Amino acid sequence: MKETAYAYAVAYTRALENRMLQRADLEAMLALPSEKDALKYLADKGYGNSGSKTAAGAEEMMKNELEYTWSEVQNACPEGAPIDILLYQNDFHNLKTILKSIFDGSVSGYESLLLGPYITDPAFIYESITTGKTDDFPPLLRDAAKRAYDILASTNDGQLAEIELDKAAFSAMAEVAANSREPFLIGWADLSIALLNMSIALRGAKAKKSKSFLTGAMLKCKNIDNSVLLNAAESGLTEVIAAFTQCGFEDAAKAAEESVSEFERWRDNKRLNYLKAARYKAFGFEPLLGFLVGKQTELQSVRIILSGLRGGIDAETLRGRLRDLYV
Amino acid sequence: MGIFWALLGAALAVGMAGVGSAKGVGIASEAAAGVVVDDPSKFGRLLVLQLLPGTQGLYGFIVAVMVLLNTGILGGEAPTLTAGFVFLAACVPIAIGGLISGMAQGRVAASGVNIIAKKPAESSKAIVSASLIELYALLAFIISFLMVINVNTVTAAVA
Repeated sequence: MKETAYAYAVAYTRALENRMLQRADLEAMLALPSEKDALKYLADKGYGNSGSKTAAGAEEMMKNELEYTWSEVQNACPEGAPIDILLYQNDFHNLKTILKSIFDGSVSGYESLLLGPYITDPAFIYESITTGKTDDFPPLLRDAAKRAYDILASTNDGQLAEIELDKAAFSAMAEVAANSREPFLIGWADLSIALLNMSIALRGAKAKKSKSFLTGAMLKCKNIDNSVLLNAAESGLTEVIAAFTQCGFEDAAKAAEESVSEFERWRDNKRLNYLKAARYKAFGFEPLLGFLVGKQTELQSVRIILSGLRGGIDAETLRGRLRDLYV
Repeated sequence: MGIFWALLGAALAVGMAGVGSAKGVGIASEAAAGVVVDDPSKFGRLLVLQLLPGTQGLYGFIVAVMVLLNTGILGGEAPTLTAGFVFLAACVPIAIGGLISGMAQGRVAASGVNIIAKKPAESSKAIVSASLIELYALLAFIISFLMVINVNTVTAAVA
């Protein structure tokens, strides 16, 4: 598709970007005494009340905001825009949640854990799994669903099934990116996989997981030599941090030295910073992708503040956990 | 046969420059609609950017009218074969210049729309950027215009 086909959508997205929260908004929320005040602040900003819906609580507000953002972008962008790449992650998350709930026997509560928007309706996923008709799943979901189901049915190992689905989700992302033949998208998928493997190595080293387990969890990556990470993860946390530096991610090493959560903050910021290049493009799908991921990151920061205020965590600690903003 | 080549020149001048403008105004207007749908109050600022790529079509139209006025259609006499070719050549600058500059200006204008969407106070910068391309359309127009009005004089002198 010609990049000028996105002229309307990009301009509209720029207009929507004006409504995104700024760092000053997050600071203002951090200074508020309670979650209730923060919710009122967000509501005054029009958060969660866009469109015809009015939010009742924090989670509903977040859900409304994300749904509104997606519907606006999807309505504005031309058909065939490769922004669906972001939705596959939600599909795999929903599949994971539904499979877990079926095997745990906690079927009634899974709806609240589902993520939207999605490509495949979770009700369809649920029905297909319970009736054994997974052949009707979209191709990207089908094989992974079967493998995860078999793992759970034969071993009941939820962690293994989760790894299988996480891998499948990122493989799907890489496949969609490769099919689009868009270098920006391919680069983003590669970076996401590299960051996933780094997270696996760090968490694996901390939990002292075996090399074979970690090998099964990692995806083939263009940006990083997995064997370096695997050998390091087998040796220990210090070696993983050294491996990050060796792979050219000095910032990741510094963050990982502090804590896993600091590394995860760095990881999220790294993904967003890649997309920030799209802010200077007037045409193409990239600004739409950047805006959508930027909105997700914004919501992540809002959630951190709201849950922090709920739990009485001090502003300085919360500030350290906040992700970068897109705008 | 001279009239055929002269009219072909006029048709290319108005047609190609018109296509450039149509594409340019189209892309700028498409982008502007994306902003107006969210904030209709910005329509006035955006209108200038939408109109800027439209001038090429106007330049092509003026050159075409000048050809018609000098080739016996609206005035003057039917051109010789040589004069017909020269009229065609005279129309080439605005035909090509108008086509390409119109499309390029449309892209810059659409990018300028994004500036106005985010920072309305900086709208003058968007307009100045888009105006820079206007110079080249104007140069092509001036050269075509000067050539068209002098074709008959020059060809008569050569003959």
